[in-house]
Amino acid sequence: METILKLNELTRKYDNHVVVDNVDLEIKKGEIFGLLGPNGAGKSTTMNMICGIVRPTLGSVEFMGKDFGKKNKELCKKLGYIPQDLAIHESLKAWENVELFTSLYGIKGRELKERVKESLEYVGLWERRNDYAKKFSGGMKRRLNIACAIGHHPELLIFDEPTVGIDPQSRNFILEKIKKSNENGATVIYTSHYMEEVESICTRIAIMDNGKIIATGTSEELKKLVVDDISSITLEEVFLTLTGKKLRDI
Amino acid sequence: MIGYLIKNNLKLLLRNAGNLFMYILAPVAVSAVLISAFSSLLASYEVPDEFRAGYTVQSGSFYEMLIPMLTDMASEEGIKFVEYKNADPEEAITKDDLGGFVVFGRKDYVLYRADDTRGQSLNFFLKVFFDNVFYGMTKTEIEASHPFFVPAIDATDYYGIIYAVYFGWCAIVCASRLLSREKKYGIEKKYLVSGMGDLKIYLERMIPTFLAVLICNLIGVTLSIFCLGVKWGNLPVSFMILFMSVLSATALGMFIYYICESNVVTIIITFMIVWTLGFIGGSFETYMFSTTPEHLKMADPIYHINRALTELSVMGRSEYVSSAMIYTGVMTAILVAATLLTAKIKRRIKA
Repeated sequence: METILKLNELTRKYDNHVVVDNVDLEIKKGEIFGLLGPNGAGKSTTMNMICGIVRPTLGSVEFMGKDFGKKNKELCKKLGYIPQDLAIHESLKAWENVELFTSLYGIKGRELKERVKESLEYVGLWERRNDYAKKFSGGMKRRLNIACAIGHHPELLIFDEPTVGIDPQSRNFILEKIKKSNENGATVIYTSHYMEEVESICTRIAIMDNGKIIATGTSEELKKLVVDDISSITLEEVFLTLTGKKLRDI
Repeated sequence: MIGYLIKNNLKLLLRNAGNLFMYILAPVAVSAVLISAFSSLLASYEVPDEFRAGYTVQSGSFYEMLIPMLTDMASEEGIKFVEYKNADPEEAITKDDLGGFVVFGRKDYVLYRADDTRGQSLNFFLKVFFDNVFYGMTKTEIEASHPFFVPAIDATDYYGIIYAVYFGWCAIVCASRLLSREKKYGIEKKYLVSGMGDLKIYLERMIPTFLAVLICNLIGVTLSIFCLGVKWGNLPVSFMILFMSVLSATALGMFIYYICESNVVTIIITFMIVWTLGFIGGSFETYMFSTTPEHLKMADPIYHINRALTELSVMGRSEYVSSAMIYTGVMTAILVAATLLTAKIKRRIKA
């Protein structure tokens, strides 16, 4: 399978503190790749380096075979980022929010209108397109957040804890949509603290701790690292076994 | 791409009731209160409709041939010139209750002014008269000094104008919700992921803020005309000055924001700067009565703007128009460049 994203000895230091330490990772096209780790493990910094917001101290990010260190506009268009924060404007209507963020990728005119419609229909908010985002429930805002990031048809979608603080129906809807995006050809990187979510949608998972990737594999492969009988253990137990039970106060 | 951002950010700013209050209603309301409070103070500054002035002309004076024209034009302005053959100017002013006394020498003239608005008005009239008479003439050396003079303006026009300018200078407050949301909810991060550079990020903030404040300012100006009867004089020129005023104010606010990266700190610093500039420039203490040193006033952009707009209101023209435009234009250019440089340096440090 073709590699879409490759992290080569990726390292990031802040002063003398190593936040991401020599991370090597390959993500294949068509995967739903889960990135897990306790707070302060280095996930966000890794994500930021993948997105080009933070520069690596050492190493490189290869996206679609090209070095992503120097921002390449065309490569940026193939990347969709759904942050954990609700990166939407509450005083704009749903369609205006999607228009604003989709237009960032150079889409305009009739095509932009079509993409706005398509994105809102995709997350089930087309009927509510003229409502202000501030009138939406938490789940609807999360869906709008997703609509704002998919209008430019990215090939790699990065979801940073997209289901925080929403009801099970909204969570199920979002997970279904992530699977659907993947079926439609998008590669997905997914981070979450909900292990059952990760287990249910991710084809491969990496567990990160103290800036390093400590384990990579399918859910079953990770379980086998801990016990032989994989039916007797959950992914959460694997996670706790590998990363420890000590609280991570950062 | 940037067009959609500007359009939507502008909608965002104009949908904020706080912005509408601050830039439309507040200037009108504050003006109305101050007009009511200080109308009698400014009325004392008004020039009487008619007054007399004396003059003597030295035989063979360059000015002799101009005297008939001068007296004719002066009488149209309510100044009656009376010729004296031999008189002590200061004594004549006191004894005959003159607004001033002009001694025309061979090549120069000396003006003795009464210590009131008549003296200032006479001085101003002479300056305008000779400026017009000698306009286009070359190699004419006239030695005349023109002391500082500010034409009288009533409280309605003064405060109506000054507070439209003053609130416009607090432009960054208009952008505060946009800036805080962009920062707090990772919207700026999304811009960066899309490949947007510092210039575009700056413009998507700067242009909508400038437009929103300008639009509100113009609505406020319209309200001040219809509700308070404020006269703005030469409307197109006044509009250009307001345009440049809001532009430079937005550039200043953005620069402070890029330095501090905190809305609260930006607003506090902006208010401190604008309050000081406003104090020197006549927003609180009318610049006609203020004892602020002249060089401080001249260094203050708000003074140039206030003075240009009030003089446009009174006379339809002002020598401060060009200085106000140049000052704000240069200030905007420097601040935009400094902000972009700050953004670049900070981005490098963060990355």
